[in-house]
Amino acid sequence: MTQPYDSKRRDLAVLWTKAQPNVSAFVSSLVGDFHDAEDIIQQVAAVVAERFDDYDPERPFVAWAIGIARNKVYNYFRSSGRDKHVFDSEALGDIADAFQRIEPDLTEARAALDECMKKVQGKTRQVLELRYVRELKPSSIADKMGMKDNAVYVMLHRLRGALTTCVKNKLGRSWGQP
Amino acid sequence: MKLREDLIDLYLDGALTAEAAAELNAWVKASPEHAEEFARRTFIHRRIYENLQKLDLAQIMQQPSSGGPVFIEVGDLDESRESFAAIIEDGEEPGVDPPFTDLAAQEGGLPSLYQSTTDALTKQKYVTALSYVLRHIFTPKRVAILATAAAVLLGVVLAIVFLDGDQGEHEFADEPALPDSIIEKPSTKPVVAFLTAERDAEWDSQPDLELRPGQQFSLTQGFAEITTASGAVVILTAPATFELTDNDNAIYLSSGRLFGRCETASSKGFLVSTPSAQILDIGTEFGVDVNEHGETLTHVFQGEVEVRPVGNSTSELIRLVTNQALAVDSDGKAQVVDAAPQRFVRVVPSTTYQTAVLASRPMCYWRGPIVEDTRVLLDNGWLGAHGQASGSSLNHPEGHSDEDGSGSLEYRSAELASSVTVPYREEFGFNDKGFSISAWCWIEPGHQDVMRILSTRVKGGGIGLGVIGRGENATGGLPASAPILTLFGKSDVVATTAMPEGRWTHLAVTVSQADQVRIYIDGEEVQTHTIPHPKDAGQPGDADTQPLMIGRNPFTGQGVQAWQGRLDEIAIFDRFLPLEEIQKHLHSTRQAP
Repeated sequence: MTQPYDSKRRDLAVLWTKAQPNVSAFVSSLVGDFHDAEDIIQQVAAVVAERFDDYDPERPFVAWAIGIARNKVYNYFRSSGRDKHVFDSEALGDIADAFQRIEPDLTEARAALDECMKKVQGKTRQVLELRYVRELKPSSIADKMGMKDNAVYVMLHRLRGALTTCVKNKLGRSWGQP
Repeated sequence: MKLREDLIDLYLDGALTAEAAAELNAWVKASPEHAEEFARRTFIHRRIYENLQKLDLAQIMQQPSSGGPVFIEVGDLDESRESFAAIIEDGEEPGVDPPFTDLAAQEGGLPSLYQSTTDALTKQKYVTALSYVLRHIFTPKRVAILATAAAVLLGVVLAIVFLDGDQGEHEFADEPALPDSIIEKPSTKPVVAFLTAERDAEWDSQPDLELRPGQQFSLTQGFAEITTASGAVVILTAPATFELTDNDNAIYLSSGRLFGRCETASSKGFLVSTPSAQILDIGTEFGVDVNEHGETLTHVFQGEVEVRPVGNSTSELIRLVTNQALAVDSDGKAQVVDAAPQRFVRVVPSTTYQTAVLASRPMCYWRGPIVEDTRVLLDNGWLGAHGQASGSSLNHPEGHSDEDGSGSLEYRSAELASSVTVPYREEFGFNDKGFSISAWCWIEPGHQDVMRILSTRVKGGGIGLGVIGRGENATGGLPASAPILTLFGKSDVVATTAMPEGRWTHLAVTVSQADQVRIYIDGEEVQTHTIPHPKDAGQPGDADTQPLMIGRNPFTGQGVQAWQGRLDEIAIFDRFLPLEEIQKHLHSTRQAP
């Protein structure tokens, strides 16, 4: 027989499952290394679960979770030295606020982007896999693929742009700025 | 707004100079739109990572246990004629993006091979993080399944770590087999619903927390709650077989019973399909029952639904409103039938006591807590007579048993105005089957006055259940805190045994078809008395459609008679309950020490 669920645990399950992708996007936007980002997301999940009793249901959950993530990222910056990060604490706050504001937008865009990803084929996809699955630096990708470094940067830049356009088209309306 | 996707991308790919970093920092702070644009671009970056990680995990899982790593041939990539530096220097905006095929270079030679595997550490951390969250949220059973899955996955991952190299071919040695029954292959289909609660549930195949389209599940025992991504809540009572579709605001019910509640804006228009009908929710609460012949019965608890019979092209939409029911046979022939709310359970029980009470199909079952923002006390019985709380907070964190984490209603003597009001319902009136009331009570020691657990006025009289006091209002000669059942204007039945004060005590009152009243304290009969048939009190008049109040007397002429202490699990049954049934409820609970 299973243990009783109480409504709080049920709420937490649903809220976290829905919010987690946006919290992850926020953390990844500031912490370049995906491994470090995963560590921080794990810490955020732990705090969210432990402090769920403090959560005020009248506030958006994702805002609360991003607030926790912001503190974790700030601590990471402090402990890892200044050379590892680009943004000061004011910018950090602006970015956290931005993620909260556009949260519904991102939730909608996620499925659209997954569809768009199916269109990425051939060698572009291979570069993408080296970058995001093998997590190689562009210079290593260039070595492997026999390309110049700049060409890899350009390809990644164009691909992100193409995916943004595809998401806009799929959503059938403007997504952010034109 | 000037876009700086060039800077953002260089930042994401780790190629920003110190100067460019300072520029990006300043640009983000310059306006909220800039910060949003940064968030969108980095979101794309993150989602590409998640998407590819997910696909890659799926590839690994789908490899046969005897198979080796997958090698993908990589062709030459054409170098772009344009350098990235040129884009930045020219300040060129990306403008119209090229088709994706333009991004890929022409086919070329095959100079290198690479192994398409996820970095092992990433996956390990992902599994660990997921386990951590789940451990805080889910049952030991589910965590055990996940831990097994994680261990097996880790085995695979470690095998990859040892064999992973920059280039060249490797063989997998003794790669562990992946039992399909334990690990569900990751799906790229979107999550359309979540398994949000279950009780004593047995499945033919245990569902994951996240439910995706195309999966069919059979609940063979117990109860389960599914919440769709749109916010519709569905309670399934075993046996039931269902499937989810690509629509995140719909469910296909092959057989069995479900209760649906659609309170969010996004769940409006929630669709239940069955072999014989489509039921579109317009209002808030309804039940659907599909029998073994594929016949569908729909009952509306509250609001409206539209039913479209399937297989009968000439049939029109049939609109049902509160307390109406419709049966559709397997040929699509529809027929209005008697209301059938008793068929449905509208909540997944969270304790063994609640499971036992719900099995007796209570008409009303207020088990708390009061919903914080709306101050509503939900009725989990089939009548759905929700109450409205007034006064200060009535929620006490402790329930009647150590198993009950949902708390109880607390009435403090200093706040006599606290109460719960349930709007009048015709069903509160007397019928020919008798009735029963049960509740867990915690009586404030030393209280002075008569106190009401609940009171209502129905059909020319009324009913009240409470305990007598020790002050001026006490009934002469009887002990304080003795239970009293009042049939207004007819009769009072008072037990000669008092309920203990300062601890949780179970109280039950039953009235049989032969008008015999029995009172039980903790399952022991303390009083039997025959009363005049309450129905003889006459027909209801305008003054008789008063609300039912929990924790006080609605008739101020007799004083408020406010409850002092706590109340929990208040249930009304529209029939006489035999002693064995009451004891079954009682013995199912684990009392706090």
